[in-house]
Amino acid sequence: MQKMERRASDNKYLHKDFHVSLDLGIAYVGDRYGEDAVKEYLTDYVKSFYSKMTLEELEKYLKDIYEAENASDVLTTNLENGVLSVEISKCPAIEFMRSSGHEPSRYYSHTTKTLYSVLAEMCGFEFCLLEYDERTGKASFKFSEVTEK
Amino acid sequence: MISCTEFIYSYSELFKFIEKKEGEGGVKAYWEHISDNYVAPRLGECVRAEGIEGCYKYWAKALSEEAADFTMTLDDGVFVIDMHHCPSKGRLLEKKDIEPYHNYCGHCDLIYRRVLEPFGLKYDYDMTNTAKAQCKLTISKNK
Repeated sequence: MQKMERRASDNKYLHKDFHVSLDLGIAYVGDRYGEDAVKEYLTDYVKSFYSKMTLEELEKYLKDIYEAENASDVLTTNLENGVLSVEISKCPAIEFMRSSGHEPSRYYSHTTKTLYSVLAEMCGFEFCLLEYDERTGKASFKFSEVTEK
Repeated sequence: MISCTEFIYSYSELFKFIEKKEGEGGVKAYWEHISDNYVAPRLGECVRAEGIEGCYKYWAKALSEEAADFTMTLDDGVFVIDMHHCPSKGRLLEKKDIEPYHNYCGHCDLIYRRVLEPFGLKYDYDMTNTAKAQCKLTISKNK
């Protein structure tokens, strides 16, 4: 007889195959309903999952998720004068998917482009995507406080 | 990037989104797609190579990475997962401002059953306590 018993505290919650599952879901939506539906789905997701954040909270959130992915080294942030600048040298999700033999779908970039755009709007920030490399997920973007006119 | 640690929330929202587009039948069609394109190449290949012992190998890795609270046994051709606290459903229940997809746990019934039954395995999934993030899966060789 083989037996395995585990408590939740025995292991770190890090099932990277979920990156593949996520991409399969986005690809299914994109191929079946069109690219605008991918944006619609991610907009629904942002509105259901996230709460309004300050720039400080957003910076901490980003640091937390990259740390959870064991990828703090790919993330650089700078917050000053109401602008949060973010640089990602490579996307750990894309790196994992490729290493496991899964080629990310053409819709995957929306998890940066659309997701952060909608999140910024929800938080009352302006979002500017300066760079996004489809192959590696290398990205540079800014969230800015909206100046009262 | 959606972190893999936040995937479950996006998964539940995906089921809601597809249901909004195509109804429950659309969600089931999606689960079949996932079963064929994600589960079959992983769990299916384990079972093809090792028989019911492949179930043990597959879930030992997956449930450990998901930090599940479970007891898993394989004894005399019967494989059992007694899930004391499912990390996926548990996370959905803990986040009070999110309403999980109404049949969230239904995907576990379909996506694995669809792969395993063609191998001649009997698939029994007890979902009576999924509201408490608990379930019991029994897979056995058809006699």
